[in-house]
Amino acid sequence: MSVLPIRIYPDPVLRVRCAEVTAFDDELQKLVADMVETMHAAPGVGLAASQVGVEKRVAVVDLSVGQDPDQLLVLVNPLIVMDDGAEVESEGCLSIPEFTEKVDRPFKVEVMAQDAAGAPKRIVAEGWLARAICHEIDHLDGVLFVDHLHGLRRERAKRALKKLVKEQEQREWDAAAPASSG
Amino acid sequence: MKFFGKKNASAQQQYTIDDLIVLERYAEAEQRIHEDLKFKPHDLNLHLKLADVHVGLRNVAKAIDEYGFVADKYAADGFHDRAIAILTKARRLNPMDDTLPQRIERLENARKLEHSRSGALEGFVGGLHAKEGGGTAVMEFQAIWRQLAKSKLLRDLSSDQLKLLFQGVTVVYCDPGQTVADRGSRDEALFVIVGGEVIASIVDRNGVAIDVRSFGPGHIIGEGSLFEHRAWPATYKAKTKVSMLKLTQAGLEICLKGNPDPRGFLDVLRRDQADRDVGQSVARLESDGG
Repeated sequence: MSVLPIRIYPDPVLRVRCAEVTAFDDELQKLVADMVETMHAAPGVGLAASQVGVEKRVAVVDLSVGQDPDQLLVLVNPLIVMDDGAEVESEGCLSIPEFTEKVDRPFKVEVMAQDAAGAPKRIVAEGWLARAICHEIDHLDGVLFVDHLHGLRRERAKRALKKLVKEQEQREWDAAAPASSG
Repeated sequence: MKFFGKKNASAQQQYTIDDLIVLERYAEAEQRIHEDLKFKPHDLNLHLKLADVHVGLRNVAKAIDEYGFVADKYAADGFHDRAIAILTKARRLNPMDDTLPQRIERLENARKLEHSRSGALEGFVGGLHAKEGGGTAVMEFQAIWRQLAKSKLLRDLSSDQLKLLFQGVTVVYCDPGQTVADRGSRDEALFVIVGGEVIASIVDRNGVAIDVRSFGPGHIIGEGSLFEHRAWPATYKAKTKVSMLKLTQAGLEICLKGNPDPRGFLDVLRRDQADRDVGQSVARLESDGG
C-alpha cells in the first residue's frame, strides 16, 4: 500500500466525470487500498478516485479516520437512489485545502453501490455520513463542493480557488527555475 | 487502464465557467457563457458571470452594461437591494459615469416605495374599508397602489403615514355623471382620486354648466370641506368611471391617532389646495359674469 499524491484544484482531473468500473481485479484492489491509506494519512473522512488522478467511479469514506474499521465504506459505481431532507453544515475538501464553507445537502440518502469485489450493496446514511457520501459521489461526476455555493459564499470560494491557482503557478515557476537557469 | 495521474486531453474542456474565471481564462469563459446564453438567455447568473469576464478583459463599458441589465431584471422582480448592490459594484468600475448614481437613486426610491406598499397594504387590510364591509381584497389594493404609484402622495408620506392613511380610508367608485359632492353642501370628506376623471363645475345664471377644473389620478379634492369645514365650492361629478379613496372625519381620527407627525400628515393632504383654487376660479367667473 502507498500514500498517493492528492490532486489539488485546479487540476483538470477534478472536473472529469469518472468512468464506470467494469473490472474488479487486483489493480482495483490496490487502488482501493492505496486510497484508504491516502485518506487516513491526509487525514480525511472521504476520498474519490479522481482526487488521486484516477478517472474511475471509486470512493472511500471513513468518518472514524481509521479508528474504527467497521466504519470504512468502499463505494464502487455508487448511485444515489433516494434522498430526503436537507441540512446545512460546513464542509471541506482535500483537493481544496484550507477552505471550508456551509453547504446544503440531503439529510438522508440511500445509495446503491458495489464493493471492491463487485458485490452489490445498499447503504442508508444520515447526517455526516450522508454528507460525506454525497460529497464523494459529486467528485466522481466532476462536481466540487464549491459548485453548490451561491452569492457571498461563492465569492469567498472564488477567492480561495484563485489563491490555490496562484500557489500552483508559483510551484510551477519554482520547479521550472532551476531547469531554465541550468 | 488509466491509473494514477494520466491527464485526459478532454479533461481541459470539463472546467466550469467559474473555473475558467478563476484561472483567468476569460476569453474561453466568455465563449462558453455566450454558448450557454443561447439556451438560457434569461439566466441572470450567466449575465453576472459575463460581466465578471468583461471586467477581467478590461471591457469596462460592456461590464457595466451587463451589470445594468442584471440590476434592471432584479429590480423588476422587486429585489431592489440586490439591484443596488450590483449597480454599486458597476459604479466602482467607472466612478465618472453619471448615470449610475441616478439609477441607484431611482432604485432606492423604488425600494422605499416598496417598503411603503407593505405598510399601506397592512393598514388597508385591517382598516376602515374592511370594517365597513368593503372587503380586504389584496388585488383591489394592488390596483389602487399601481394607479397611485407616481403620485406625490405616496412619495411624500412615510411608510408609517401611508399605513395610517390606508387604515382610515374607504374606497368609493362612481359611474360617469355621478355626483361626488354638490356645490354648497357640507359633506365633510376628502377624496384622493385613484382612477378616472372628476370635473368641478358650476351653473351660471343662464343655466349653462361651466367646467372649472378637472382632476385625475393622484389629485386630492375636499380638503376645504374636511379640514376647514367649508362648503364645497363647486359641484364635483365623475366624468368617467372613477375610483377614489374617501377620508371622512371618522377616518381622519384613525389616521391621527398615534400618528408620529400629525401636522406633516395634514400638510401633505392639503398641500394642493384644490378647493381653494376652485373657489377662487368660481369667484372670478361669477364676478366676470356680472
